[in-house]
Formats: sequence, structure tokens, C-alpha cells
Amino acid sequence: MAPPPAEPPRRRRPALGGLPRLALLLPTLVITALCFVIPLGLIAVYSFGTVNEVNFDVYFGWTTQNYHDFTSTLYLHTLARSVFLSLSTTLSCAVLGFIFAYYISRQPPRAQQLLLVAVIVPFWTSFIVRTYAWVDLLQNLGPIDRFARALGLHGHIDILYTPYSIAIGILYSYLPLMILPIYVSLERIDPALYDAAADLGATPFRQFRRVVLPHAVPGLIAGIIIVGVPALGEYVIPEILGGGKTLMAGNLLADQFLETGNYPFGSALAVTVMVVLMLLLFLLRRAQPAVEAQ
Amino acid sequence: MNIRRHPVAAPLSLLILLFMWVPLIVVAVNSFNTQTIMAGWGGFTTHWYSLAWHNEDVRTGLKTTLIIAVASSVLSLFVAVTGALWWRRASPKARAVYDGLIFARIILPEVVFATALFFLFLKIHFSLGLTAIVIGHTVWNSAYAALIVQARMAGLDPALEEAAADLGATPWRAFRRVTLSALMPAIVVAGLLAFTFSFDDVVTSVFLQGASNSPLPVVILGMIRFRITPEINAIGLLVMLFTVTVMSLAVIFYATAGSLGRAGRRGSMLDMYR
Amino acid sequence: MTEHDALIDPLTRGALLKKAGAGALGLSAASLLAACGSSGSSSSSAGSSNVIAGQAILSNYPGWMGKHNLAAFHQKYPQASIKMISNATSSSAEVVLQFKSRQYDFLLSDTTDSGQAHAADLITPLDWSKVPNIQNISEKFRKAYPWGLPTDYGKVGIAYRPDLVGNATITSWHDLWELIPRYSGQTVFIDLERDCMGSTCKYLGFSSNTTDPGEMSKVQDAIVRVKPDLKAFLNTNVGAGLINGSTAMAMDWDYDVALLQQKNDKIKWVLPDEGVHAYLEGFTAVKNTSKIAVIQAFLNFLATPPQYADFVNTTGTAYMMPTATPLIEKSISKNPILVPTPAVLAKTEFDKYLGADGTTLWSNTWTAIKAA
Repeated sequence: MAPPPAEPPRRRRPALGGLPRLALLLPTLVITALCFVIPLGLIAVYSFGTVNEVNFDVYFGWTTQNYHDFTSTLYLHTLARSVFLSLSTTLSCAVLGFIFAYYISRQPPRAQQLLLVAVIVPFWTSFIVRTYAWVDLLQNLGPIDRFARALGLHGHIDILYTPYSIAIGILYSYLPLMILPIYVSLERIDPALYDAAADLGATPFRQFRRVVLPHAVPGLIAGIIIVGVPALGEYVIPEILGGGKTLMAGNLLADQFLETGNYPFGSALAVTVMVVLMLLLFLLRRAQPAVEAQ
Repeated sequence: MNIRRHPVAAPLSLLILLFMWVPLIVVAVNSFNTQTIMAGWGGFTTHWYSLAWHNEDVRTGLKTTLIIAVASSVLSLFVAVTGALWWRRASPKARAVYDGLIFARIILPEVVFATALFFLFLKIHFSLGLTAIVIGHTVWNSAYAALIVQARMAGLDPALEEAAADLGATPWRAFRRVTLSALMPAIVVAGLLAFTFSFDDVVTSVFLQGASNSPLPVVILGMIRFRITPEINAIGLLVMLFTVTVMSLAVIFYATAGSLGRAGRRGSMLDMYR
Repeated sequence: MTEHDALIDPLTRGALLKKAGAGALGLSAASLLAACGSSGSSSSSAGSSNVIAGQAILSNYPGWMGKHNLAAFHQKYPQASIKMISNATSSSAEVVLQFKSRQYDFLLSDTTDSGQAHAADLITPLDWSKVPNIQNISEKFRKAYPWGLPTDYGKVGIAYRPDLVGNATITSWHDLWELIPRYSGQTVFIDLERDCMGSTCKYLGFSSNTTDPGEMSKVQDAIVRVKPDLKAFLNTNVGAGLINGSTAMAMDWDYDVALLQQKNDKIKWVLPDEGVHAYLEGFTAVKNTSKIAVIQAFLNFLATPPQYADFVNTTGTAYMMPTATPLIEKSISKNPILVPTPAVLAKTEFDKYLGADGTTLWSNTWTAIKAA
């Protein structure tokens, strides 16, 4: 028998057949450093500038006025309302999304693909067209209203143009975003694990808690972030389904850039939102080891 | 009792599926409505479909949007996968920064980012148009894709790939058979997501389109601002049918190429022996 | 917008120019090309002063031009032509940026935007000696729009279904405000600053161009007071609910109501006693455009009855040239809602540019109303 081959000299193994690891990072660097961080820097600089309201020139005078303007009670009230609406909608989305993702993950592979496609296909119709479809659905004298009245409801459902219809619209638009990451996490659970747990006498609830939940956590967190944060900045849905009666943070922000032309103030708003959310992320990461250990 | 039967999840999931599809049904039904303002049912007509079909702006818009969506998805996946591969052997500090950048890209409101990128492109005299839009889309699409791929990557043991290498597989083969195939569901899902986002995007597209042809959502928006008619519903439906057809063809092609079968199964250690 | 749609619904021009509150997704990038000011439209100049030559670029609302206007103009001046770029834009910020960007030679722009562009020194005033046909346009419009050729306007009045409000008769904004709480959830307001608050100014007896903070504060209170009883603030298909009765009363534009009446003749239009505000728009030339000769020739050409009638018949707008009436379609010219009689015009106040402070005041007031 030949002697075993000598060990190759110990050095850090490249991640993929010879490519230095930095090369793997390059695409990300280009996309983030060049096309994201730099524009962000521009926004940060703008937030300290002033705008000429007549011709929309932006001057850089290093003022903090924009941030002061932001703290008026008017805006804080709007922000609070947005946060509450987004948060509650995100949580509902998480519950529904989890149920559906779990159900998909327990199907045979063919069925899984079919269900995934069934979830995505409606979203190839154009977001605006779908949202206006909800106007038709939710309006008084619309199909749901008539159905409810047929079941005995007195009066009308009065859902359209209220915060509830905004919530439904957001829930609807973001549900696939919640389902997909959770599905991806749950899909890798080996079905044998369920059988093993059952064989060991675990109750269905226990199986769920010990097998499913731990695997679902990364996907859930991803889903909540993917849904919750953009929901906060959403302005199209509140406008179409809210009847212009519910001002959300997203409307406020978008207006600065699209309507008023007050770029410095809008930038200050954006920077504040970003800073707050990054802080949240930081805290979340601190808490994560504790969550994962469980 | 084994939780393989789902007395609760099944009916609820059915309801959820219904919830997803009901607006689509409304769009479909209304697209045949003679009533222009859709304030009630006025009678059946296919007039709107013929209008939509012959609408030049819509055709050009669809073509433009498809190009953007495909380009952006592919690029985003490339960025996401390479990044995830780097990530799994990165130091915690580096990871924190990487994750932070993903998070930042997702939380920055799109309208702010679009404006910022617009101003930047102007300053460096980078011409607006399709390339600019693709870049803009890729910035946030890659973040979503990275998140999904990473969620999957987190559960993979890097030792598997090393083990395959030790057992004689070339590094590339080890990567392909073990890691890539295990990542495949995430890649497919992330790709679909990125495509869908790009396809439907209005804000970034509007800011960065320059003088180029408008992507479809922008075209639809212009029509809606004028007046909402069933033609818009007809467009929505036609577009959906078109995309479904294209996607189905892609899936069939991919499936017959064989790899879908393997990727559908949970990546297991046995795979590296094939 | 296809031609066909224009034929079916000739009176369909929504307040696209005015969609200030819509989350304005339609911000066109071309207009944004302004912020860093690109170079001007610098093609070869118009040649000798006697020949009208060159191509002038017009940024216009989609389809907002007579079917034959451009072709006929080219026929008359073979060396000149107009190229029309469609921009479904609305916010003042965006229109002013379009002036700034020098991408176009002239724009469709309303009184507010042209006023602001003028204040920012971004327009080229017309040499009226080259546009003698301007005389065909009624004086009131010319006076309100001195920067270029005024083309159309839209009044904001009231539309309602008497059968849904107990056969009450509405003749004033006052009547409307009184009925809103009694029929809670059935009234629609327009989701645009100038239209909504401007009408409220009329209700309170103020000028719809006021910049007085005290008056604006009262406007804010008046709207916030009825806000809980409003159905919604809308900026597209505003009065559509009147057709099937899901809306009982609406603040709406004249041409929109004229169209709705074709679908349901129970809908009534009211020009309120206190008066109305209206937007007024037209074509204004951008500063330092090299095509001013072509622009002036075109506007002069457009201001003749046959050409203007073509414009009105295609767009379906309320019009401003009495001499063109015989050439305009009956559905427009015979419609009391749309005809510019002196009595109607006496009660109409056109929007003006409010100045930097005034604009900020209105903007803040609107935000406060929406946030309430």
C-alpha cells in the first residue's frame, strides 16, 4: 500500500476553486459602494442645505434647520400613525405568510413549485392595476359590500378610503415578500425530522416548536424586514386606497421630492428614518444570538 | 399524530390563495366591461383588448420592461450569490458591515434613492436610460436576493464542500454539486422576486429613464392619470398572460435540462456523489 | 392616450397638469434633467429673419393638441415643424425644472407654473407683434396669461345627484358645506391643493389666490371640519361615483361633469354663487430658445378659428375663442357648462403664482389638512 499523500501546506482555502475571496466581494462592492453609498452621501449633504423655492437651486449652507422643521408635532403625529399601521399590517402579514409558507413547505416538490408560482403570478399584472382592483372590490355597492348585505348587513361595509383599506392593500401587496423567505427557510427541513419527532412521542405542538420554529426564524426575520420597512415608506397604496384622508410618512417624504421640490427637507426626513432604522438593526443583531440559541 | 396532516394550515392557506387571486379576477372581469368608468357592469365587450393589443406604447413598454427585468434579475443574482459565498467565511465584523449594507438598501425609501442616483448620474455625466434603470433596480434587487440566498446559506455547512474536495472532487465540481445545488431553491426564489420587482417598478424607472422608451408601468401610470378605463385592465391581463407564458417556457426548458429535479430535493450529502 | 379614446370621451382631460397630490409617480426624468442644468436646445438657428425655419420642441400633455394642427402648420411653413414630447406631469416643481433644463423650446404650462418660471427668469416673453391672432382669444384670458398663448381652462364647481340628497337644490358652496355632514361619507373633494383650497377660499369669500395666513387658517378649519364626513379626496375619476350613486356630491371640473352627464343625466352641475376658481394654461416659451420665431409663428397659427377649433374638438376642453364657436362640436359649444359666457367668466378667478412665501403657506396648510 502506498503511503498516504502528504498534506498540502496549510493556507486559507479559497472559497471557490482558486478565486481569491475578494473577487467574490467585488460585484457587491461595485453595486453598494459606487451606486448606493455615494448617492446616499449626496442625500446626507443635501439635508444640510437650503433650497431656493423659486428656481429650486440647492445651496449648501450647512444648516440644521431641516432637521428642526422635522420635529414639529404635525410630522411626528403622521410618523406615529404610519408606524402603527405598518407594524400591525406587517404582523398580520407575518402570521398569514407563515401559515402559507409552512403549508407549501410540507407539500411534495411538484406541488411546492406550483403553489409558489400561484403566489407570484397575480403579481405580474402590474401593481397599479391590482391596487385599483381593490378599489372596485372594497367600494360601497361593490361585490364585497353587496355580498355582506346579502348576508344581512345593514348599511354598507364602509371599508374603502379608511385606514383599513390601506392595511388590506399593503397586506396584499407584500404577502409574497413575506411568504418567500419563510418558505426558503422551512423548505430545508428534512421531513425525516418530523417523523423522528413523532416517533419519539412528541405532540404536534411540540414537533412544531422544536422542529419548525427554529428553522423558520431567519426567514421570519428576513420577511419582517423586507415587508415592514418598505411598508413604512409606502405612499402609492395609501393614496389610492386611503382616499387621501390618511397622510402617511411615505406621502410626506415623496411629496418633498416630487411635489414641493424641497430636497433638503426631504433629505433630512430620509436621513432621520435611515438612522432610526439602522439603530433598530443594530439592536436586533445584538439580540440575535439570544434568539438563535433558543 | 403526525403534523403532516394540516387541519388548520390547509383551509387557511386556501383562503390566502383566494385572497391573492380575487383582485386578479376582478381585473379580468372588468376588462370585458363596456362601462368606461367601471362604475357598474355595462355589458360584455372585447373592445378594450383590441385597443390594448394595438397600443404601440404598451408594446414598446412591455419589451422595455422585460429587458430591464431580466437584466436586473441576472445581475442581482450574480451579486447576491458571490456576496453570499464571500460572506460564509467572512469575519463577524466584515459580515456586520455587509449585512448592514443589505439592510440599508432595503430600508432606504425608493423615491429618495431614485432622486439621489439621478442627481449623481447627472453630476458624473452618466447618461440616463435603460442601463441607468437596470443599475438602479439592481441596487435594491440585489439586496433582496442576498437576503434570501443568505437565509439559505446560513443553514449550509461549509465543511460539506471541503469534504467533497477532500474526496477528490475539483473545487468547481464541489461547489456546483454541493453548494450551488443546495442553494438552488433560494436562487430560483430570489430570481423570481427580483424579476417581479423590476417588472412592476415605477419610481426608479421614472427618474432614470431619460429620453428612452418608458417601461410599461410608467405607460400604465400615464394612462391612469388621464382616466381609468377597462383598457388598463385589459393591458394588465395581457401582460400577465404574456409573462406566464414566457416563464412557463423558461421553467420547461430548465426542467428538461435536468437540474430542476435535483434541486427540488433537499440538498443532502448524497448529492456530491452524483 | 390613443386617438380612439379621445373620440369616445372628448371631455376627458383629467387635471393631469394639476395632479399635485397624487404621489406624482409620473415625474418625468426629462424634466428632472434640470437640476444640474444641461445645455440648451442648441440646433441651427432659424436662418434669415424672413423665413420661418427649424424644429421647435414642445413638452406637452399626451394628446393635448389638435389632430391636424402640427401637420397643417408644417404645410404652411414647409421649413418649420414642431416636435411634441409627451410629459404627463403636474407638480410646479417639475414644470419649473422643465423650463430650467432647456431640453424643450416651449411648454404647456399653467398660470401658476408660468408665473413661477417668470419669477425665476426662465421664460422668453412673446413678441406680440408677431402673434396678431391673439386678438381672437377673449381678453380676460389674455390678461390672466400674459406669458404666452393661453389655450384652455377648467373651472371647479359642484356636481351632485339631487335624487340622493332628498331633492335639495344646491346653488352655492355654502349649501354644499351644509349638506356634507347630513350625507356623511358621500361627498368627494378634489385631491389637489389649488383646486380644493381654492374652492374653499371661494366658500369663505376670499380670493383663491390669497396669501394671508389668517385666511388660510380659516380655510384649513373649514376643510378639517367636514373632513370626517367626506368620502375621499380624489384626483382621478373624481365624480365617477355619481354615476352609480356611490357618491352623492362632488367638487369637480367642468369638463369632467359634462362627460359624466352623458352617462347619467340625473347629475347636475352647479356654478356656485360665491364664484369659482379655475386653472388656466397655455404654451409658454423657454428662455434663450433659439426657435422663438417658429414658436411665435406656430402660436399665431394656432390662434386662428379653424386651428383652434381642431384643438378644442380633439381635447374637449372648455375654450376661449368665441369666434371659433361655429366650428366647434355641438357637444362642447352648446354645453352651458363649457361655454365662456361673460356671466360665467365674471365669477371665475384664475390661479396665480403665489410667490415663494405664498406657495410655502399653501403647501404647509395642505399638509396640515391631510394630516388631520
